[in-house]
Amino acid sequence: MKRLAGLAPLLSLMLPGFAFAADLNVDGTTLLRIEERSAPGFSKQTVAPATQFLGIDATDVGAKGLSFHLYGWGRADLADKSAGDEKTDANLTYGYVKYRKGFPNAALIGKAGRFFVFEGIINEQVDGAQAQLILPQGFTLSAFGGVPVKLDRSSNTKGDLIGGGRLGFRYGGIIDVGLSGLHERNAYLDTMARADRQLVGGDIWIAPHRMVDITGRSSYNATTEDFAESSSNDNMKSYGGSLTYSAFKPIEIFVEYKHFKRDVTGSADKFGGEIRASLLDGALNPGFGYRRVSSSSTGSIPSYNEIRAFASYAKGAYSASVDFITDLYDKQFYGTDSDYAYELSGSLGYRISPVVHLSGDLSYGANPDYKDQVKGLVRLTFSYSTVKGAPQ
Amino acid sequence: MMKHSIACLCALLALVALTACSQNISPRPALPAVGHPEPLPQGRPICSDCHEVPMKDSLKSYAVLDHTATFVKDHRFAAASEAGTCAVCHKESFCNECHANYVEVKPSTLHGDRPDRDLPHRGDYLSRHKVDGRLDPASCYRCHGRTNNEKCVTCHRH
Repeated sequence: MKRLAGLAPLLSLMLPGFAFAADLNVDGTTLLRIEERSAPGFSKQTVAPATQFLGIDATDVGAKGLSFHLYGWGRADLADKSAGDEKTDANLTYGYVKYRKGFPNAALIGKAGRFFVFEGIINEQVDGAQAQLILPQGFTLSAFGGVPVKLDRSSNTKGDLIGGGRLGFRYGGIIDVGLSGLHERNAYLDTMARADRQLVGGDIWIAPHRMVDITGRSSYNATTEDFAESSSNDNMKSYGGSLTYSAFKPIEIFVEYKHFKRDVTGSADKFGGEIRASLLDGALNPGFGYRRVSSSSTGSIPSYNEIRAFASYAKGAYSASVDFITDLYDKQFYGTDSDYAYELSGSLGYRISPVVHLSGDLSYGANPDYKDQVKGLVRLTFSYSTVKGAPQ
Repeated sequence: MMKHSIACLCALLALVALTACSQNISPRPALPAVGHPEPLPQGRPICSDCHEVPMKDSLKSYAVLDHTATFVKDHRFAAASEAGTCAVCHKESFCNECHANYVEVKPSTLHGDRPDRDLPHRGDYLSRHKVDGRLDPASCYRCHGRTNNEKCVTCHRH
C-alpha cells in the first residue's frame, strides 16, 4: 500500500501530461471475493478481499516515441485476513517511461523505472534502466542495470545491485540465437550465504519449416560452477515436446510429453493431451483434457491423474461458462487422509456497455487441506482507450 | 490503519469516476486486445490465416505467432523476440497477470469466466504446487523469478 500511496503524487504530476498523449489506455478490474475456508483442526474462516487492478498506458507523451506504462493492484480485506499479516496490501508490478527512436534499418529503445526483463536466460524485476539496440544485419543488443525489486516483506532473497544483457542474431526468418548473462551483487544463495550470483547462457530458435520450430536454452551458473539451476547437492534437467493438430477447422487436438530428472527427487514423466472445439461460429467453446504425472521415485513425488472438462458460451451481451477439474492421486497425499481434489465452477457475465463487463463466479471443491471449499467472486472490468482499433 | 482506509477510499472513488467516464468516451470493449486493425474472429487467432508474407523486421513467418495450444504452452521465445508484434494486440499487463514477482490472485481466478483460456494453476493448486515444486522448480522461476516470489516466502521461510 505504501508503494501505491507513494506513486500518487507522481501520477498527479503526470496527469496533465496525459492530456497531451496521442493515445491513452486505462483499464482495470475490480474483484470482490467471498470464500469460506475450512481446514481440519482449525476454526472456519470467512475472507472477503476487495482487489482493484489498474493499468495505464500513454504513448507520445509530450514527445514522439516517449511513453508511460503502469500496472499494479491494491487489496482491502473486508472480513478475516485473506493473506499475510495485514488486512491491506498492494503491489506496483511495473511503472516506467520508455523512449523509442527509429532509424533506417535500426532502432534504439530506452526504459527507466520499474520493469521486468525477459531476455534469453534473464527473468528479473528491476528498479533501474535498460537500453536496447536493434541493429542492421539482424543483430540486437540490450543491457540493463539497477536494483532488484525487494518487496515489502523481508523475503531476504535479493542482492544489492543487478545488471546484465543479451547479444542476439537472427537470419532469414529461420534462425534466432542469443547469448545472455547477468550479475547480481551480494545475493542470497540457497544456503543463505551471500555471494555474487552470476549466470551466462544461450538460447536458440530454428525453424526448418514454417510449421516446425525447435527451441532450446541452457545456462551456466558461475557461482555454483554447474549448468542450469543447480546447487551443491542437486541437479535438474528436463526435455520434452508438444504437438498441435487441427484435424478440421473447429477441432484442435494437443498432446504433450515431458521428462524430468532431478538428483534429490528422482525422475518423472508428465504426459497428456487436450481436445478443444469451436462451435456455433466460435460462440460455444467446449474442451476436455487428461494429464498424468508418473513418478519413478520412491514416494517423493506423488503420481496422479488430472481430468478436466469445460465449456464457455457467449451470445450478444451475455456469457456463461462451466469448468470441472479433478486430481486423483495414486495414494494418500503427503500424510493426509485424502487422495483426491476437485473443483467445480460456473460463471455468468453481462456486458453493461462496450467498455464495462460484469461477471460472477461460484465454485465448490475439496482438496487434502481444505474440505467443502465454497468461493464466490464478482468481477467488474473496464477499459478506456483513445486508440482506434477494431472491436476484438 | 486510518491512512490505509482513506487511501483505499480515494482509490475506489477515482476508479468509479474513471469507470463512469469510460462508458461515455470510449467505444472499446473491456478486453486486453487494444489495437489489431481488423476485427478478429472469436477464439484463438491463427495469424497466418491472413498474414501470408513474413514479418517485416525478423522475416519470420506469422505462423510462429499462431495461437495454437503449443504456442500458448511455449510462447516465451516468440514473446521475447517479437514483443513489438505482440504489442499490437496485447498490453504488457497481459503478460504480467502470470509473469509477476507478487501476484494477488491466480490468473485462473482473475479470468475465472474464461475456462477456454489456457491459464496456469487451475483447480486445486494448493496441493499440486507441492508436486510441481519437487518435479521442476525451474518451471516456477520462468513466471515468478528465482526465489523471489513473496507468496512463496509467506510459508517457505528459510
